[in-house]
Amino acid sequence: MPADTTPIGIRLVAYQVGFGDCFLLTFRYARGERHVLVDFGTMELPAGAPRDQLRQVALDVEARCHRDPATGEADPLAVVATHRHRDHISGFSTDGGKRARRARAGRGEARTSGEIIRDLRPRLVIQPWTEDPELPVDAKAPRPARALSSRAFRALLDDMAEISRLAIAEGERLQAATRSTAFRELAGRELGFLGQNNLSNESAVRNLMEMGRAGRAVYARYGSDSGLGAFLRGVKVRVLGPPTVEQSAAVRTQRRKDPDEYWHLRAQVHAFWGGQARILRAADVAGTVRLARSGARAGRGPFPRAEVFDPRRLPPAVWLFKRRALEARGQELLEMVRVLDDVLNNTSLILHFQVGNLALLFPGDAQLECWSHALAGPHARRNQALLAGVDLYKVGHHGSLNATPRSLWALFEKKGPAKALRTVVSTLEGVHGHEDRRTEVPRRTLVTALKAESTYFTTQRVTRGLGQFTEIDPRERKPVWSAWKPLPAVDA
Amino acid sequence: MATKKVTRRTRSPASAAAVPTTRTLTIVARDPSVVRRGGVLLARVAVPYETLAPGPVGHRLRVVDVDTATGLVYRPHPEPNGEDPFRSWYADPGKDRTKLLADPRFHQQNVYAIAMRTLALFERALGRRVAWGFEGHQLHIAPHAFVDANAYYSRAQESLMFGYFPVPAKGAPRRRARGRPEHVYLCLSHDVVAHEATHALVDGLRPFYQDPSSADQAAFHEAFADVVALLSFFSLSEITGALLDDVGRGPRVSARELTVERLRRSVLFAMGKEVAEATDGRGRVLRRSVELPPSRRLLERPEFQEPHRRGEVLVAAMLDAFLTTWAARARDIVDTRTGTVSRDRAVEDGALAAERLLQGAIRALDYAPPVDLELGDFLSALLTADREIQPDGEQRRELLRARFAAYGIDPATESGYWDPPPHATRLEGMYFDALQRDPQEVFRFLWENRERGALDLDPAADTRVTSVRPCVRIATDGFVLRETVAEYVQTLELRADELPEGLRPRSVPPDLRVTLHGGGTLLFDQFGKLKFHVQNRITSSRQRERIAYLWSAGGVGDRESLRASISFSDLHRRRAAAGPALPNVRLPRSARAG
Repeated sequence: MPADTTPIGIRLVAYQVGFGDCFLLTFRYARGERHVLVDFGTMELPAGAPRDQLRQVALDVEARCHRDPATGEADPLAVVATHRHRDHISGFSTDGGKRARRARAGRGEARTSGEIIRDLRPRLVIQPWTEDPELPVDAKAPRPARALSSRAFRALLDDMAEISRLAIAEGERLQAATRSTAFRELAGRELGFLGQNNLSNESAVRNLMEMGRAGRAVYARYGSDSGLGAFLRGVKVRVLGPPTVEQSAAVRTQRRKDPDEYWHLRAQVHAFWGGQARILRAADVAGTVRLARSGARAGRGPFPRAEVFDPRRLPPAVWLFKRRALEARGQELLEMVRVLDDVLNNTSLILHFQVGNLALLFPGDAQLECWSHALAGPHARRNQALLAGVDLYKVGHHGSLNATPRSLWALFEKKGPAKALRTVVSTLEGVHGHEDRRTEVPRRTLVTALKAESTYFTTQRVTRGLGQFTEIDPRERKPVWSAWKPLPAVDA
Repeated sequence: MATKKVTRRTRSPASAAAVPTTRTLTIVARDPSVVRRGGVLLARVAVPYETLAPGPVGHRLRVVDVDTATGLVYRPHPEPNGEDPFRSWYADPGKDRTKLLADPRFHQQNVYAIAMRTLALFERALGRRVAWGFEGHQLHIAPHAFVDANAYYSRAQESLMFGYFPVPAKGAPRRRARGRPEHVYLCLSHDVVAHEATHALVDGLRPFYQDPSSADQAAFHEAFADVVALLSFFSLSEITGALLDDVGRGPRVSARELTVERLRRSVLFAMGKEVAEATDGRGRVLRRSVELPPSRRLLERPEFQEPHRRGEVLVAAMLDAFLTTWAARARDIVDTRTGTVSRDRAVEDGALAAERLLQGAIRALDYAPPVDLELGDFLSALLTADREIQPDGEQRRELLRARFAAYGIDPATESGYWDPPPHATRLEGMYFDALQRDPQEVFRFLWENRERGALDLDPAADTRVTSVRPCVRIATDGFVLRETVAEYVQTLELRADELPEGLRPRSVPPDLRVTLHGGGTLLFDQFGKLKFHVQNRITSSRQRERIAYLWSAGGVGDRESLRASISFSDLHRRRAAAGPALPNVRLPRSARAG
């Protein structure tokens, strides 16, 4: 067998990035290594982690790519950004802020994490089709009765980012008005968390785009070529998601019993969220009160000059209800950003790597809607057979309940008491969702199932060092993944 | 039965002063988009009299005008017990109403009057007091709670919240009518206020209807709130009058014009297309219900498996029944010489037809099963309730049955009515008086009659009597009906492989934990004899379909958390955005798991 036609080893590094994802897949060939960085971002680092954890991770990736600082030469690298949530791409940001930049300069390292990755000159940058800058944004929303186009969907995503920004701002105003820790616990914290995650991370987005231009940019959709097949010899990589709007519509027609799974793609939804952004913009009206001899009067607001209560002397019953209304509004905003969060999660790239009989699945944060075309579309049977053979599953959305659809979990044939299936989750407890609402991430019941039926690893076990790794030799007749081990330092 | 004038009753001899039984208040007839003679159409409605505190705050409603967007709290009218302060606006239709609609105190009165009127409609139809779905006695109402195109009832917050937002630039009517405000205030929309108040009332009467169960039950809460909202404003003579304006404006109207289709077009016109399109999406949905052509196969169509679209079918059937009744009444009063009908009489007949149908629909809730409602159950409940209070109204019931059948909704029983219990039930050792009020006594009744052939309860299930309510119902013709309505709920938790033979759908894994609910409504007559037992058995064959539905939607085994997570604000937003409604709304997050 000629050299470099098939990998002689695979190593998966799971970095400790708190609530976020960062995995480095290394394919060893007889003549060297090739790397695929799957996501690089965080929303919150674990307690005690250094502030520059992402930069340290980037430096580790650089070292593993054997970059020669003098020539700039490094192992071939491909970058995958499954979707635009911050917890998946913030590490690609080149904007470190002045203070951080000064601090780094003092220690002799001026590059941000995004710049370090950029210096590796990735040959391939793969993102979902929704990020394609060539996909023009529709100037006008389509008419409600008509199907929504993929272009309009891009516009919808932009509206949604705007809504997230406005929701965060309104949530902060509500927090200031309630002056209550209860509000923060009830809605404020999660609202800020999800809202921030939804916000467009412009520096990271720009860096990904520029790296793609410098190398090769691929904006993949279900069934398209990811470019990884040519990059990784002897590895077949299939894109199982996200479907385009048109592909989703085809599935919707086929499986009409589940029309709700595709609701977010409807044209009417576009019109609605566009209107929602406009309305929330109007909500930014700080009411003013004029205290006159005749009593307090409204200044700005919908009823100028109407009589109002002096805000410093609200009757107790009124104050109590005001607090209740503020909390209710916080909850409502939270519901709104949760919907937006789901929509962005459903733009996730789903990649299936096949090396011989070995299969690895990296689904980003995809939820059922994103899986729809793969599981119910024209190639459903073939895809189900592929998924049945998965050996290693990167658990979707940091272990949230909705990102491991029942229909998907049921397919994995290697799960069971023998725990032949490997599962890996990158997560941080206590920052997303609430246990009493059964929305905590990672979800307890899912983790119980994963532990019972698979060999489970969570990055929460990484309390020292930057991460842990597992390896496998795909050439063996019955390849077995090694136990997870702490990441050793890389020889320069 | 609307009270048209202020009537008086005498208090005890110690109280010399007589107090009125009703108070008449000015409201916006439908919403500010409906204009007549250049001004927003107003109406006057009678609501039960009570001694109000500023707000208005009464014994069941507490209006607190908090605006979370601006942080302001608008002061209420200081003298809520005096004469209606906005009466002069109604009396003078030519007066510019800009100032009226820019007065938050009028908004406060509007929400109070419509919510109170809706409550009174329920209490009059059911013949008893109706509790809210939470422990408190007073429902809070915030007419300007936030800037958003949403309004909702929240059980947790014990409140109705209404949003407001600037009139959209594109969607606004080109020619702004006099008095039309710059903002869209959902608290000024009659159907929105009645809709939200109905959610609060149905939640008090049937708390399990918020549970995920079947596509029908998921559709019902929203659909019923729409039915009440629509019939509530069609029962205002100002609105039926406005509908007839589009048919003819003279004192007599051509009978040939009073057809169902002509009236339907008029209804669509009155629903204010432009603003409805531009606002919260609910107007658009209501319009779609009105336009829905009858078809026996509607409910089988894929798009009508989505709960809110399914609900439109129920709304369409009820509205069709209303318009058919109204048109039929017009035929009865036609002057054969001129081929015309009196306009005033037709207006009155239309309002009365809406009011009667509305009362029947509300009364049907007492004849409906407490859990797992299906649309056919509701029709049987509607027909049985109607027969009980007006035994001679066979023609009306035939019409109802025909209009529902046209939309593919057939009653749950062959006769259309609930069947009386097959065997006499045991009453030995029980007291009639206690059976009218005491859940313990009703539970004893269940226990003594639990066996197959009597009430046929599942012996393994946990059984709880959830309410016992004596009622005095008065028909529009003065007929008095005394009944006691009691409800019980049964709960059974088991693994899927423990389900009785035939109940476990193939797709459900054997180790899945399943919570089953069943239950029944017991209707006792004035002598304590059981008239009807409307039951959904915990192990009935219909449970198989429910389990399959919930499994596909992800609801099996996690019903309590789903119930807790369902919110009307989310539901309304998704509905406006044409998204899924109950119960699928929350299922993806909490249940589509491995």
